[in-house]
Amino acid sequence: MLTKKICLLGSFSVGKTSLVARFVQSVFSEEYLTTVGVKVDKKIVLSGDQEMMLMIWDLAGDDDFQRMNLNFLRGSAGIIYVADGTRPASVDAVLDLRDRVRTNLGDLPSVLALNKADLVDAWQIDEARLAQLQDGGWSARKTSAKDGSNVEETFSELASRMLSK
Amino acid sequence: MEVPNLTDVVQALDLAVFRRESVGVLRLLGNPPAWLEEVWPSVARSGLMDSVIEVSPYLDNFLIDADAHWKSGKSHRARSGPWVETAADGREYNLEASAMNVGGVSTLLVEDLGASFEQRRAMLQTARENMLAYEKLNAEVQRKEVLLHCVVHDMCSPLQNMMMALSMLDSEILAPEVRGMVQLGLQAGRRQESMIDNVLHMYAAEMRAHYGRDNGEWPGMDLRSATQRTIELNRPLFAQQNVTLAWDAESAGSGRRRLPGDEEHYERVLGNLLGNALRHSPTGSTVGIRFEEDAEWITIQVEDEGGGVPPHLQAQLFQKFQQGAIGRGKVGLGLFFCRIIIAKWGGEIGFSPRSGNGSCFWFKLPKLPTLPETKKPGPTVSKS
Repeated sequence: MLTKKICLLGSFSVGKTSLVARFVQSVFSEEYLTTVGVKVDKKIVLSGDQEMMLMIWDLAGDDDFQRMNLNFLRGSAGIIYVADGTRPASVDAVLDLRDRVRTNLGDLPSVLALNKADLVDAWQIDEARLAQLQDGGWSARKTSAKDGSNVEETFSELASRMLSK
Repeated sequence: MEVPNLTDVVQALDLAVFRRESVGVLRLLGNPPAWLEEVWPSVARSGLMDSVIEVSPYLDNFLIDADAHWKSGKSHRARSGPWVETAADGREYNLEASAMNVGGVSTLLVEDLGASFEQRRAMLQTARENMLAYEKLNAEVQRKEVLLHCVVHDMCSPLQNMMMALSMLDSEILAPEVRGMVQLGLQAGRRQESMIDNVLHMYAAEMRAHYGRDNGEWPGMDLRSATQRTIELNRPLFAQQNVTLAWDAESAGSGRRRLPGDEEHYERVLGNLLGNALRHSPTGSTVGIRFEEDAEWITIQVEDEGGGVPPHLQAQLFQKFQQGAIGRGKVGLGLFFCRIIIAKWGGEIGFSPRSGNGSCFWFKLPKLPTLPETKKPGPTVSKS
């Protein structure tokens, strides 16, 4: 079976671990437990007719306390960048991360998950900003690890992008 | 003295010790620790890890760095950083591996971080929760500021209605004492309009300074013309207080210069500094504007002959809501506005006491490198 390594990258507390938990185990916890280091999960997906084993690397949030080790990305076939739609600064952080990844690994298939879409009242990314991101080459969609919306779609989109590369 | 057995030491430390046999193949040395039997039971049983990628993709990735470390012959540890492995019963173990050269043997130590990991996580968790709380507080403050400034903005509409009514009255035939009252009202209205305008401009500039992004394509500035316009605007006020406004136009150079910023905001900055100097100038004194230039910077100085700035106020001069000596300032936003505008342009602003008496407020702007001219610059937009 085809095996692909993918990484989830983003600032802290944007919901990377929750997205993986929703995708792999169909569970969600309200409790925020910061990730230290790396956790690798696996899931088999079907993209078109192609069965594929995703090795999903959930990396600790990147910030001043804990910088991302680029060695973890070695062998990655795709990246899911994750930002918190209620914190515009986390979108800027993702732009910075993409630059760092591009500098070291070149252009990899990627998608952007604007997570916490269930927090409608606190949402800060308006349609204009979303359009701006899409104009900037991002495949961006609102996701919610809490209610599951667009989570499968985000992983499927990346799988399809990796296959077509 | 009795020497402890190394195997016992390793066991006491709860370490799994492997020897590198070949690329991607590790041999377990000694007895497996209890956690290894939970996490990688097949490795604990056979004592061999011959397909590391199947056992642990993370460890497999680290072995690339470990191989480089072993080849280097260095004696220190190369650490993998922590990662999580899940046992068959769902329990998670936080592990860390270290590659070492021990007596010529390529050795890999893997340890269960246990309690020390939880302490580290708890510290990081607290730090991040504090950051989240700080971000939320900032967002709340910003929301309230926007609301407040919307209210300030809305105050303009009734004021404009009042001004229009007073202007219409002023155009009628009125008794002199009534006209005096109407004109007083108009004057107060204009002052209030100006104050609202200042507050909103300052707020907009602050927001741009904090959240805005510039594309760096500045239109350039004609400092001489912009300075001349600012002086003409302020001259009546200086004349009213019998303070001379002096400047050497030649020192400002001529034509459009490649500088960051725009003339509209330059005039507001200079106007604020002139207004500030005037407020602290005694009758019959002079306020001077001087330009200095070197290869990298243009410095604009506004010098007065007032009483100077008391030492205890100097450190906070450019902070929000700071007023000068004996509360002569307006609401204390002028110098703050100047600071954020100049900082946004990559310049500096400051204050120096003058020898003798008076103060010198200055700001400097970085000169941008000259670009080959592709088209003629457009006309200077002058402020009405």
